[in-house]
Amino acid sequence: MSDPATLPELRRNVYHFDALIPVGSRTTCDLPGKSGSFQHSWLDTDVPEYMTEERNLRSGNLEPRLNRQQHLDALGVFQSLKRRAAKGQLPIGTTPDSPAKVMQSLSYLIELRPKLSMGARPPRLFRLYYAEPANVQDALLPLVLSTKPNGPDLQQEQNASIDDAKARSRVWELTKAMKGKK
Amino acid sequence: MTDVHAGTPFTEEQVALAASNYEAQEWLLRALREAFVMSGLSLQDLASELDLSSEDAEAWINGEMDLTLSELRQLANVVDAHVTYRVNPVHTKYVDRFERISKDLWQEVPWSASHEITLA
Repeated sequence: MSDPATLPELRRNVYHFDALIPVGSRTTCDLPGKSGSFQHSWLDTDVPEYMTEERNLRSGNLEPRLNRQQHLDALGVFQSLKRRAAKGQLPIGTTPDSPAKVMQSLSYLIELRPKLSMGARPPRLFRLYYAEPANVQDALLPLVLSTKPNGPDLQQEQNASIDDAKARSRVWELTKAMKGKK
Repeated sequence: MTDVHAGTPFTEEQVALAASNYEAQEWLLRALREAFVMSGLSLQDLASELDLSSEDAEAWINGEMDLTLSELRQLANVVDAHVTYRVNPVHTKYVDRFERISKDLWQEVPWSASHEITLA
């Protein structure tokens, strides 16, 4: 991050994330996939913490309670779902089998949800949280790669991930504003 | 945050293969749903044929349940669908290992060979 002296001022002015409305417009703009004319971009290198999590997933180290092949399976599912979202061909729903879902507690956050079922019921589920920034054309912004319990979330880990996504999206917006001021 | 980067990263080819296998599974489930619709069966019919509750039958056909291979076969039989499994060997990791293994232990098989198994 550049000049720290400008941060308080920027925080006052830009302390929210400006999301595209309606949420999911880019992700779902070409359902049921007839046109094939959309190609949105994933800003995979914009959020440093996400990059670290993505590296850890790619190395099989994001979640010690899941094995290496479960990491690879999740990577494959995320790649496929991200590709469909980039084409605007990923449905967003609320049923248990929906591959993507809008978070109730943070209305601009979308969750990618791979199903993981190797052998016995896996103890954890991988999740990728992203948003559609209004001010960057055709962009999809990945914010958090994490896991949550496959069952009751006693420690409210999913809420913690959503809080992380919220904070990161605001920092991203701040950083973008700072770059714009230069 | 600790950057735990100790494991060997998966290659692009390995991730692409995992994505492709996932997409094949999605395609299979979608095709079975289409076969169910074309069969004219109701969810109650499906539940009755498979000895399931209506809720479970709906979960089977909507892909919410991770079916075993035998359950998949039974579902295909009920909805009048012919399921074909096709396996193609690919090079994402094993080629390097083969080079290190003594040739005395292995009879070389060309990678171009593929095996097709048809079930149901």
